[in-house]
Amino acid sequence: MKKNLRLTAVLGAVALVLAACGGTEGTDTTAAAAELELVTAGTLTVCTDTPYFPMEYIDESGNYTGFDIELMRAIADDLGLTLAVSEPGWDAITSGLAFEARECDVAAASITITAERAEAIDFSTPYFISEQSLLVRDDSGIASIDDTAGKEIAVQTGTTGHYYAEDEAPEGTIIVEFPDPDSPWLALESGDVDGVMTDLVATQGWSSNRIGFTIVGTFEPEEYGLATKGAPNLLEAINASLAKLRGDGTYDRIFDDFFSVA
Amino acid sequence: MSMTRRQRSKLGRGILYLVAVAIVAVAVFAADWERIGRNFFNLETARDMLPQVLTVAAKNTVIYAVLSFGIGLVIALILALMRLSPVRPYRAFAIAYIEFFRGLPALVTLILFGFGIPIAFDFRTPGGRVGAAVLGLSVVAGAYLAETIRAGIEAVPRGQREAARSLGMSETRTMFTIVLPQAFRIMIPPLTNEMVLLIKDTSLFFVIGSTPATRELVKFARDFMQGQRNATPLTVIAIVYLLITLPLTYLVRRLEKRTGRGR
Repeated sequence: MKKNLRLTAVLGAVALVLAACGGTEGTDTTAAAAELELVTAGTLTVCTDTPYFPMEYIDESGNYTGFDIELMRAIADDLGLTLAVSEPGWDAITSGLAFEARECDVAAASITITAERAEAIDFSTPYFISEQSLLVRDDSGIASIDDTAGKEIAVQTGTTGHYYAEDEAPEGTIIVEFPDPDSPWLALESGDVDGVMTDLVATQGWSSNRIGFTIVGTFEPEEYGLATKGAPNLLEAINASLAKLRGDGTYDRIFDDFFSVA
Repeated sequence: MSMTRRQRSKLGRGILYLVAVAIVAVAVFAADWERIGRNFFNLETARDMLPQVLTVAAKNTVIYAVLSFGIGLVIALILALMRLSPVRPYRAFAIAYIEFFRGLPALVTLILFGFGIPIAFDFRTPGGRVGAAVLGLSVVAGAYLAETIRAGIEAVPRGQREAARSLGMSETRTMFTIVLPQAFRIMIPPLTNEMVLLIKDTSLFFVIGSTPATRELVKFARDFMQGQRNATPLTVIAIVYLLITLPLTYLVRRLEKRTGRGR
């Protein structure tokens, strides 16, 4: 399992290099904060969807953390804003309703950039690369995605794992949908389903300390983006800030906090 | 300046009307009607939901509610009889059950049946996830209905039971042929109310997992919101819910009036 974490680390590092090449020059973004139309002045309200370990989750003392959250904290610091976190639900984030309802300024929720979603929300430059993955119970008799006919595969509704399973799993696969990111794992643990299809980074986070489960396939690299809607100034500021954090080593430090294999 | 009592109450009512009109006026003028129309009354989205919103979602909602009600009623009848039993452990069990499941949110009970019990006991409910959800809701309904049935039984005049007993009927026969038939007539309005509550509680089912074929109204609407990027699916299912529940609540009012007359 440590090996898998290392794989993610390598992928993440690739994302970092890619984005650093395409990124804009680091600028003093604090001054720009004044022109950002924020839900609450002086606060960067971030929408997310927990628990999606290790990307976004609530720690034992009740605070939001995870790679996405800490990255947003750094961006908020860079923009001279205070961080606030809100959870309007996954559907509301990817459909853009959470933004229309003035629930958040930006969403950081391991959202894969897709053309379809880009019609509803505006994505930042990619900040992370993951892959789709299928994790199964060892006694499920599934050795690859081609064996899932008649088996139950759990997904979170409206995620790329959901769409990938719909498109790529053979006819007769029973796709069981859950509204939050954690329930597919509970269903797998309770023996209710045979496997879970979701991003590799979360699959590794969940399976690293469990036995009896195997990743039988990884598919299609995916790029995560931060999302806004109808806030071009904010998006520009966030992109600039992302580039700056990558340049000055902050991104690496946060990355190591959550993915280092030391 | 003194006013008669009548003038004062007239003035008071006038002020209340003005406040109400003002609130409505502010709401009407402050609202962004174009945006509301686009988000809540998108006819194209509404059309896309047909016919599945009825043939799948509404159908499932009604089936889940009816099943939960039926099983719940059986649980409740047993509990109510235990609650009124002279045997103390029966009474204690019934009270503990009723208080426990009335005190928990239905959502917690559903998650308990969907995830908690399967993980703890390696137990599969027959019928899979839908079975677990229906069983969970039945267990909740049982607790509420038990109190309804008990109240109904206690509302049957004592003389009825005494008369039956003095005719030589056994305790059991008295209960099932004399008391319960009369009690159910009294109970019909509160039972119908419980049915309405159950129809609405099926909206919680999706938290323990669903497939396209097992979706009820809320999950169905959420799927459409995801695809269509507007809130019209909520408007549509609100209308469907009302189409199901309003006739029931109307029936309750009619029945309440009639039982009121009959007594």
